This record gives sequence, C-alpha cells and structure tokens, in this order.
Amino acid sequence: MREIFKASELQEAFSLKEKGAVYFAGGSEILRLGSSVGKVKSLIDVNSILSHEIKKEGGFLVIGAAVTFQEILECGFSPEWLRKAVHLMASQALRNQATIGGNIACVRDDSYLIPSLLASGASLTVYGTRGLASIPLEDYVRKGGCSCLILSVSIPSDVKVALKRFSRSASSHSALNIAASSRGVFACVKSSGIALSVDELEKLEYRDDITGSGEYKKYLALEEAGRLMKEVNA
Amino acid sequence: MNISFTLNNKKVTWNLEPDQRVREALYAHGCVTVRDSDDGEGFTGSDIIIYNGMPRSSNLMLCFQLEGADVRTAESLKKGKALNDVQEAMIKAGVVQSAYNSPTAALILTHLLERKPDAARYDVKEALSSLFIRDAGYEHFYLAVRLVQEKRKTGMYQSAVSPTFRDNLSYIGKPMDKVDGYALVSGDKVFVEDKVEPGSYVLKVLRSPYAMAYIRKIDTKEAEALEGVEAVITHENCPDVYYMQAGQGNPEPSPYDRRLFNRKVRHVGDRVAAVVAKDEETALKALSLIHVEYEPLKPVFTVEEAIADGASLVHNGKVSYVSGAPDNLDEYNRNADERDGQVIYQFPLHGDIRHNIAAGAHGGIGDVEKAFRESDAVVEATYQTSQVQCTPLEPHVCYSRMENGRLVLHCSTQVPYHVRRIVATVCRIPENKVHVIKERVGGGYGSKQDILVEDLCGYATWLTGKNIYYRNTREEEFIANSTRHPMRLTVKMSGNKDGRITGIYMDVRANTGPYGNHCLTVPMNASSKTLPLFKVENMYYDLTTYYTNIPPAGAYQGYGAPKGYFAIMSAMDELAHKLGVDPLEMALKNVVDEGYMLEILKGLGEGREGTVVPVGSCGVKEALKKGAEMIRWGVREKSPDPDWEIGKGFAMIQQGSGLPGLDQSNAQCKLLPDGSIVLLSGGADIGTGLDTISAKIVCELLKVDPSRVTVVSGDTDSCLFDTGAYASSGTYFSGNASLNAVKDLKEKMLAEAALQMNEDVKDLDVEAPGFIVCAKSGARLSYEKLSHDSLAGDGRGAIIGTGTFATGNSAIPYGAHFAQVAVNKVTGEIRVQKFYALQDAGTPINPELALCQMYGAAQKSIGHTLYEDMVLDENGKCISADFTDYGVPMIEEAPEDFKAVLIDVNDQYGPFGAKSISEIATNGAAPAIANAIYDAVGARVRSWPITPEKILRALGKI
Repeated sequence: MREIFKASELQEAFSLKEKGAVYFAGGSEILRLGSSVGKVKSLIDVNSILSHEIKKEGGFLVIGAAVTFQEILECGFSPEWLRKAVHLMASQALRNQATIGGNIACVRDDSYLIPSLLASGASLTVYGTRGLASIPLEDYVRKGGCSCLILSVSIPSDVKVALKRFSRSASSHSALNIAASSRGVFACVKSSGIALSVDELEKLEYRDDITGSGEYKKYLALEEAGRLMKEVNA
Repeated sequence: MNISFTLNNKKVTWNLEPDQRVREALYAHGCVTVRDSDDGEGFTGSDIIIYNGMPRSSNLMLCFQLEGADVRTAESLKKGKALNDVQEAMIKAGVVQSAYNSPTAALILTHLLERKPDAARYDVKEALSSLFIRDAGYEHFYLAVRLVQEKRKTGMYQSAVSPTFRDNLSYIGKPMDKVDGYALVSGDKVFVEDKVEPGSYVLKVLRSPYAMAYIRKIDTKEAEALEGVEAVITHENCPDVYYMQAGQGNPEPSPYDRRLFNRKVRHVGDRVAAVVAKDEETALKALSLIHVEYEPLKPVFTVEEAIADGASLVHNGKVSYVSGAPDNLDEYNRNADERDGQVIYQFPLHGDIRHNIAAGAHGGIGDVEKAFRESDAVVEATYQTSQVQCTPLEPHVCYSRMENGRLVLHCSTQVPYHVRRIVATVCRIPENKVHVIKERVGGGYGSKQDILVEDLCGYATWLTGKNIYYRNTREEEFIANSTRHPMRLTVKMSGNKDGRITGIYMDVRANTGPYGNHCLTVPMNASSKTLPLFKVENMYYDLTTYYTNIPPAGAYQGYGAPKGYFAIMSAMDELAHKLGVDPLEMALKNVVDEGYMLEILKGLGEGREGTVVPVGSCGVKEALKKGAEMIRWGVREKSPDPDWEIGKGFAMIQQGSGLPGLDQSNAQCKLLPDGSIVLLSGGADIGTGLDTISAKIVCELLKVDPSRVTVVSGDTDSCLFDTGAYASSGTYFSGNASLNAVKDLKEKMLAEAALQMNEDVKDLDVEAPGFIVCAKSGARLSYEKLSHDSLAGDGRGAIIGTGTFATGNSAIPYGAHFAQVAVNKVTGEIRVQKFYALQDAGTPINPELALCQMYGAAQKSIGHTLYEDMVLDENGKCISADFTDYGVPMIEEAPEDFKAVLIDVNDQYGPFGAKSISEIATNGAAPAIANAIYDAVGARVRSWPITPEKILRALGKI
C-alpha cells in the first residue's frame, strides 16, 4: 500500500521528495502500466501547491506546472507551435490529465514537449535546495532532471518554433521528436537520448529499439533537423 | 478512509483506500460501465469517466483524488429505463457491436455534445481520440453524432444509416436496433466479469521465462502451505490428457500436442503452474513461492531456424494417430523423448515433428512449370507477414462454479460447444456434466475460437469445487494467446502480354509457434481463399507449417487469407507492371465469373479431398469496376508538397461462409403461451449481430413485431449444437438453422391452426401482427389463442420448430478494396488518404452492422499492414506486449476518406440470399496499400508491417 502525502507547502513537498517520495501532479506517468516510478511507496500530491494558471507576463507566457496539456491546447493565447506540441499527445483523456510540469520532470527520451520547449528557450521556476530559483530548461534537461519541484514554465512570446514527431502511429512511442528555432535544433531520440544541438544530434549514439533502427533514427534526425531549420528561417 | 464526492449527481461517501485505483472502486460499487481493457495503460478508454467536467482514465487516478470531486459514469446516461439520445443513435448507427467500451463511448459523446452541441467531425475525432474501437471502426460514430444533432434539431433522424435491400421484405436488409444493443450500450451486467460472485476464488498462472526448457524440478510445498491457497496445479498433478485448444469440428485437423501443463515449456509465457487462492494477492504471493528448476534448450523462432539442420525440436515425443497411422510409426518413435509428452494426430496432416513440421498440404491443377516456361513474363517474390494479435477489448476470461454436481462455465467464447467438449475431455467427465453459458463477448476476432483459459479454469473448479474467476492480463493476451501465424509466402506467377495469367505457384511456410492448434486450417486459407478467385488453369500450392518457440499462433479473423492476399495480389501487381499491363485490367481479365467450375477446390480440402463446385453468386467484377470509378483509377493525383507522392492500389478478395461439409448448426423456435416467440440458437453472437439476424428471420417469416421475439443463444443446456462462430459461419450456418427452425415452426403452427380452425392447411397463412388467416373463409386466429389452446388440457402440445443446417454448398463473399496513399520520399511516412471497401455480402441482413464490420475489419487490417507488430527479443520474450508498444490503429490512423460499400448480390444458398461479411474485409488492405505505395514512390515492401524505415530502405535512403 502506498502512502499519499498532501503537500500544503513547497518545503514540505521538497523534503518528502528528498526522502524518496515522488511528486504526483496529473498522475498519467506514475500510474500508467509499466511506469518506471509506478511502484514507489510514497506519493506527494502537489496539486494544491502548484499553479494551474496560464498567464502572460511581460514578453513571456508563464504556464503553471499543474496546467494540463488540454488546457494549453484550449488556451486562447497559447502559441500555435505549443498547441501543436501538446497535441502530439494523441489521447484527449490523457491530455486532460498530463501536466506540463510532469512531462518535463520525467525527462523522457520520447518526451512530447521537451524538444519544442528547449527550442523556445523556455526556463523553469523551481523549488529546491536553495528555495525558489529560475533555471533554463536546457540546464534542467542536461542534468537529467533533479529533485526540485517545477513550479512554472516561462516561454518567450515571440519565438518561432518548428517541430515534428515521428512515430509509427499517433499513440505509439516516438522514434524521434525534434524541434528547431533560431536557437538551434533539439531532439528526443528514443532509447538514444536527448540532443541539444545539431552537433550533439550528429554525435548521439543511436540505438535500435521497437521504434526503429539506430540507422533509421539517425537518418531521420539529421534530415529533419535540416528541414526544420529551413522552415524556421523561411 | 471515508471519501465524499458526487457520483452521477448524487452525494456519496464511501470507505476507500486512498491509493486504490478509481476504476476498481467504482466497479466494486456497481458502476460496471467502468471497465478495464489495458491494465491501467490509459489507452483503450474502457475506463473513462467524466471527472470534474473532463474525460479521464479512471485507471490512472487514485481514490484520494475523488474527495470533493464531481464524477460521472455511463450509468448516468439512462433516465429510468430510457436510453439517452446518444445511446439510441449509437445503436441506430450500428456501432454497438462487441461493445465492451460502448457505454464509455456514449458518455464521451454525450459530454462532447453538452459542451458543443454543433460538434463537427474534427470535434468528434478529438473526443474519440482516447477510445480504441476494434470491431466497428470509427466512421459510424460520426454518423451517430450527426443523427443526434438531426433529431435534436428536427425531431427525427434525417440521414440514412445504410442502404436498404429487398423491398419485398420487411426486416431483412433493413436497419433495425440490434437485439442486445440496449443492454450493451447502457452497461447492463452482461459480460463474464459481471457474473462473478463475491467470495469467488482467483486463478493465476506461473509462466515460463524460457522460450524452451524442460522442467527439471518443481517445488510447490511453500505455495501450497500459504494460507488461502486452495490448490497448486502443475505438470506433475494435472490430468494426463492430451488435447489441443482450437475450437474446431471434431475430429480436428490439429494435433493433440499438449496437456494442461507440460514438462517441457515451449514459449516465454507457457504455463508452468497455476494457483487457486482466495484472492489475487494470495495467488500472486503463492506463485512467487513456487520454485522451478529449468533445463533451458536452444529455441527456434523463425521458419528458417526451424528448418535448419540440427535445429532444436519443439516437439520430440511419441507420435500416434487415431486413424491413418503410417506403417513406420514404431521406427519413427524410436528416439522419442518421453519428457516431450505426446503428439496425437486425429488423421494424417503430413506432419513430421522430428523436423519441426506440424502439418503440410499440397495440391493444384494443370501444369505450372509448363505455364511458366511458355509465358511472356514470370515474377517470383517472397512476402513475409508478422505476428499480430487480435486485441479484443475484453481479455480472455472465465468464471467457473459448481452447481448440483455439474460444472458451470460463464464464458466469453465463440465456440460454446467446443468449450464444453474440451473441458469435459480435460476433466475426464461426460459432456452432460458441463454447462457452458456464453455471455456477451467483448471482442473475439478468432482468438476466442480457442479454448485458452476455460480448460484450466474449468478443471480448477472441478478439482476444488470452488467458484473461480480467471482473467488474462493484457500482457498475457500477447504472450499466451492466439495470434496471427507469421508466414513466409513465395509466389511465382506467369502471364502473357494480353494480360492473361497463365500459372500461379504458392509456397506457404507458416509458423504455428509452440502448439499446433489451427496449424493446417489457418495456413491453408492462404491458398484456399485466394487461388479460387483466379480463372487460371495452372495453379499449385505447397504448404508447410512449422513448430517454433514464438508465442502461440491460432485463429484470427480472416485466418490465413489476409496473408495469402498480401502475397498473391502483390505478385499480380508485380506481374502486371512487368508485362506493362494495367493491374485492374489484369484483375478483370482473370477473376472468376458466376458458373466457373472451381477445379482447384479438389486440392484445397483442409486435410480431406475438396469438392469441385461452380462459382455461385459473385459481385467481384462490380466491386472492381465501382471501386475503380470511386478512386479515379488511372488518374495520377498530384501532391501539393514535393516531398510527398500519391499512389493507388487495390486488391480483389474473397472468403467463405463457414465450412461446407464440416460445419453444422441447429436451432429451435418455440411459440410461448401468449403467442410471443423464443428462438434458441446454437450460434454464438460475439457482437456481430447474429442474434439480431435470428430475430429478424422470425419477424420476417411469422410477421411479428421484434418486441414479441427473444433470442437465446450459446447456452449449451438450452440450445442445440452449433460448431460455433468462426470461419464466417454465423449468418450462413446459424442463420440458416434459425431459418429452418422458423419454417418448421410456421409449418406446425399452420397445421395446428388448421385443426383448431377446422380449415384446410393449404388455405392458411400468417399475417401481421401475429395471426393465422384463412384465405378462403377469412377466419383469423391469433397466435395467442393458437398457442393457448394447443397447451390446454385437451390440447395437442407445445408448438416447437427445429432447424438444422449442414450443406455442401458454398456462399462465397467477394469484394475489392482500393487504397490511395501519400508517401513522403524523404522520411518514408505513409498516409492512407482514401480507403474504399466494396463487398458482395449477398443480402446484408443487418446492413448498418455489416458496414461497421467492414470499417472495423479494414481498419484492423490497415493496422496489421502499417503499425502492429509483436517484437520478440533474442530470448523470445515479447517486448511489445502492451497497446502503446504494439501499435494498434486508433481514430487518428483511420483513412481520411473511408467508405464501405455493399454490392447488391442475391445468393442462392444463404438465408434470404445472405453471405458472410466481416472476415473478408481483413483481406484487402495489405496488398492494396502495398501496391499503392509502389505506385507512389516505386518502393516494393514485401513484409509486414510496412514501416517508414522499410520504405526508406527500399528507396535506398538508408
């Protein structure tokens, strides 16, 4: 039987996390069949301490970590590329559950949002050892995530992002999810890792899995990187 | 803890564990519409609820999240006994078929129309994006929404749900609410799981981690000692009875090559032991306490590995024959290994287990070698199909219990009478001691033609006397279940410049996996359902089926025909291109016509000599011509994006309607005291509308309203024998049995009426709404009075009609499927832009259900062609054993322009001219799409699934 802690303060949640519990926001990742964290003994319900709001602040779109994919899709001022990115999660019921914070925190190599958000130059507001902090998403991803709690995601309003996801069917895992902007190219490659530049994409060790061979993924990644950059620069 | 929330507009407070899944809690509290198809994968939508105004997967929520929440389940949709308008429209549109998640579909669409009354096609697609529909496809869900909108606006439906057929008939060929539609869409307790009584025991199975191994030692003492464990069953204490799990006509063309448990395990997931325990937790704990020592063996996974010199033998036990044993059998068995058990053939199937051959067949007409020598062109190519899974939403389940010394089985099965026979065999009891009740079936597609769980569950109850519930996990559905046989098919085809095909040779190598259920019949269909479509004088086939250590293969909708068509229609396309002939012209020139004598059938008799018959009613040419017109055959479509190219392809197809000469169906029809009617059908309605067919036959012949007719089916105590719902037999066999029963009843009613009315029987007939009338005198007698008086103290007894149907005649459905695809030359991506399925189903008795089955089967076949794949690692473990990894097609994968068209043909043998409908619809997609891809970019991919990667390789990009 699992323990469920309903966190009422950020520090309380963070302390529990440090003790091995897992943050629980939407739950679509933790509770799904085959989840890597599905068997943890303790969950920290962070819904009451996280923002469920999307707002414009200065030149940024600030999205609370507990905002769901569907809420982003339905929000009138979500940029088109971001709506496209959240819509890559094909199931509406899952979109009603999965949160932006949760999707980033998993740092999956088939993440729906990470490539596009990286391309946008998004940053995160997190709560961790040093209290509140703002960190570039790129740093968070490069570290492979951390025990800090993501509170919100800030996205520059004027950025142009081009993106593409390759999977056998809309609901199956992606072989490649790739995005580009003037900042460069960013990609999640299944079983192979997350690349934060074209250079990294070229050097990535591409591995075979059920989504395709490493050779296929590499071909696709490099072809698509070029095409997306053209789209961005058009 | 007490958790308070609003459920279906009522405040409730339930005592729940905070970390319990919401679905489990809701189901346990009576919300049976909230079902589980994916073990919490959040994929299929069977578990969807409306949570705080949003559709959510209740399996992906914990009970603590219910506190203060507003929850709606599909139980909220009915008002009193009345369905809501969405539920009604779903039945009208024909999408309520096996219906395991129909209530949640209704809930989702109701919610959509509350938020967006004018929902457009895009909105419906979005709403259904979380719902996996395997049986009916998605197309008529759009129609259902349109019907609701029309009725809300105008008070009535405006759109036709289907064309109608046979103007002279009232019910046949017309849309009518499916007789079980109300129960299914509203969420009545109609599935096996709903019958399980509190306190029932559970059965869990320990499965092999090895693809092939001997069990050296198995220690169950600790497990048996665990409190709450009732029994542990292994190869050491199970009945020493050999059988096989295919539900086929007896004697079966499949070897008896297994017991409940075997000393040799033959695939990852094979049964090692079973535990009967008071609850799941105890059963799982007990499984962990069973200690097994294995002697692993080198497995074989492919046909090539099974053929290789020195290959490990999957079966190396003693072989015997019930009849037709070869003279050298003793010599053959000299080196048999007793640890392998036995293989018992009912009659020779050309098997040779010492070479991993489970079965074989060959035959043909003419001289193919001569034809090849003398033709203008010859093509030869090998095509490979993959292992794909039926994926019914309701997994394999069984609930067994004892009652008055008899074993009662509540089953989700296509073959209740084979279940009865096989369970009785395993338990070593007579069939009268077994009562099988077929509940509603939440998806079968062939996999429930096999007795995969009832054998063990039934035996466990017979052994322990306990009520026992067994349910496959979704992973077990993949690793320990029936799947489509992977096949390697080589086709050699020759032709002349005039487009005439001169010779066809098929070499079919099938992979049956660890056991031989269907090892002849399924692979045979690769040839027996394809070659008879061709008016070619020289045709020959060789078939060999091999044992290997992949997960089990077995029956799957279409049997071997989809694989045969992939090969033969691709080969025809290759030949046409080589000869410079239009493939459509070649098809029209070489396809059979009505009356053409099918000499090829002589060699296609599935282990027995086949009968040569002429082609009966045949709509294939019309389907080809109409499909070509619809898709603008011959017109090159231009893509607006230079990276994408568009191509077109097609396949002509046929199937069968049951197995003439082998199948038999029976039915009884009773006039009740008040003049209403009960029809008892041996047929197993697995959601396809077979009971509705029987009901319509009663209504049509006896001229009564459907409300006066009840159909009971698939109950082995109350209904008469039927071979079951497989090989497309339902309409033709079970339907004809119902027809004969109703005719018999009518004859007896008229005879009794003649006596009661003192009229000549030849002057009597029936008249709506339930009268016998005399044409001569004008006298009328109600069915109620007729029945009442026949049952009175001085009456002549109950009026009952009985019908049997067995035949040597075939009612073959034909068709043509056309595809238009767009292919990206740079990335290999494929989009199915158009898919048109045109089929001659004879008289479609339920036309709206028929259309949905065509959509469902075609979409399933598109899935097999492009997405689905059971991938094994080097040890034989399936690494794509959930929906996401496996890749079933959802609404997003449905063709952008998808049409099903019924070609109007009246068959001479089918009931009211009907033939079968759904299996044939799985035959066209693979070749049509493969040929369209070739047409688009010149890439010929000869293996399933046709992935972007394979296209890129064919194009030389990687």
